[in-house]
Amino acid sequence: MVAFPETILNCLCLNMISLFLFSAFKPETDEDREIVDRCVRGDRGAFDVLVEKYYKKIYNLAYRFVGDSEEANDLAQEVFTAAYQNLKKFRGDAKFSTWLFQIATNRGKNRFKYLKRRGYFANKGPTNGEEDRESLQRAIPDLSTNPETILAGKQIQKIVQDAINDLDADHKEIVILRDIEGFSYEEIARILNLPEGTTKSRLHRARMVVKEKLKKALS
Amino acid sequence: MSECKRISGLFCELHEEHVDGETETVVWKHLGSCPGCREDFKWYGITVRALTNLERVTPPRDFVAQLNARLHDTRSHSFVEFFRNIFSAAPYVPLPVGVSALALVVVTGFVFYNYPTTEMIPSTASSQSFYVPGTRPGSDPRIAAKGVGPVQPQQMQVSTLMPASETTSSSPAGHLPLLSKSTPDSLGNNIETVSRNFPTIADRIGADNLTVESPSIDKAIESLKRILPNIQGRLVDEKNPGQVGEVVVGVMIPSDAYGNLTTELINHGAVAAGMNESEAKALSPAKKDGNNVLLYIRFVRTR
Repeated sequence: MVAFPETILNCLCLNMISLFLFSAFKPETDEDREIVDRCVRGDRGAFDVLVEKYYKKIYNLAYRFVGDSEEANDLAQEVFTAAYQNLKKFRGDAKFSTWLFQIATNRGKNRFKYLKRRGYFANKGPTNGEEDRESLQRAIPDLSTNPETILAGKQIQKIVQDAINDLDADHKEIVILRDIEGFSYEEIARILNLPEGTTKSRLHRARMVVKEKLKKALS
Repeated sequence: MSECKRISGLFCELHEEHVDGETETVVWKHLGSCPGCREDFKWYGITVRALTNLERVTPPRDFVAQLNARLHDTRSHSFVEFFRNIFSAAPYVPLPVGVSALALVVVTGFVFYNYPTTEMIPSTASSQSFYVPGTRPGSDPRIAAKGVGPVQPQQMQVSTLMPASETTSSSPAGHLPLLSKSTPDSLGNNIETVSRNFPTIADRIGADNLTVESPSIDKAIESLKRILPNIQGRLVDEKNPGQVGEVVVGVMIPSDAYGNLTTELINHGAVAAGMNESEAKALSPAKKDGNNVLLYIRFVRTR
């Protein structure tokens, strides 16, 4: 058997290592990048593709921020308009979706603060009344039997949304991004430009606040 | 109590199964023995499920149509947008390039700011005369500022700065009319107004290149002598450099009054005319002596 030259073997090994490293550190690919490029070049139809892809998610996020369908509609449209106007500024350092949700979160947070200052949420009011609570408790016979069904109920949904509305903007955005939109901690950290540790601790505090409200309403 | 707080701080990790085995054992052991924490953890789980189970709200059917209409509106403002975005077409210019550009703008701005307005006049405008409004050209005195050194032939429409009431008045002596007539107070106000409006020109003319043109040199010098006490100045020298009808007068004035005197001279009409360097050197240059400035003014007969 002929011995394989040692230098060639070494070269092969080095090549394999470099290939592995290259694949490991290759930047995250953005599936929307090409569409965004087309859009920047003036292809209006390309932006429609992006709208079609994200408008439901953005609307949902907007709704959770403001808790009202009309406001959410206006906010979501504002987000897309801002994205369209600033598309040239998108550098592609992060994924397009991250950038879009960054705009949505910032705008949502600002709109929420604006509405809160104007007493918008106070006028709507959470279901604190004794009557509401009684009807709620009648609607929830036993929480331990089938919690999923109960949690899907309209009234519970309202309690949870009210609890979210009561959160301050910094906690609210994290709850929305993590628990409602299902982003990973890494993505949230990127969207909010925060360390992951801060994201986790804020999320925990926000959940504890919502938990207390839920417990108070359902107990 | 502190143990319960510590455990409740781990609810998030525990719920998402991000705790290591040893910690998990400790937490579960505590939860088994502490009904309060167990109840809290149960509610924590319910909360997370309630949040994740929130139904997805659907946007209105015409959302995309509304958005398109809004985008169309936005595009219709493109003329305004063009100006708004004129500098954002390449928003990520490298920092050194941006800083260099900014520095260039600032330096250019300073250069233009410090550049006397008179230097911007083309050199072809070799001689221009401006008369005090309301006086007859030719018969009335003129004060000429002649450029030497960096100062090029210049023109100054000074009369436009003067109030009509003042510009129509005439001198008792018939020479340097406003200078001789003004009281110290009104003179001061006049000087101040002109200095504010025209702060740098007088300074840029230089101390050694002032020429006053008058049909009667003696009367013009008399008028100047009347001004001097008002600005704490004094006559220190008077000589004839050799030319017929030409007198050079040296005055010592406080350096802060220099601007006022030259402005006052310019204020009463100015002639821009060139002076060659040898001619300028022949005159003694102004000397700064502490707070005082020795200023030589050449009086020439009107041509």
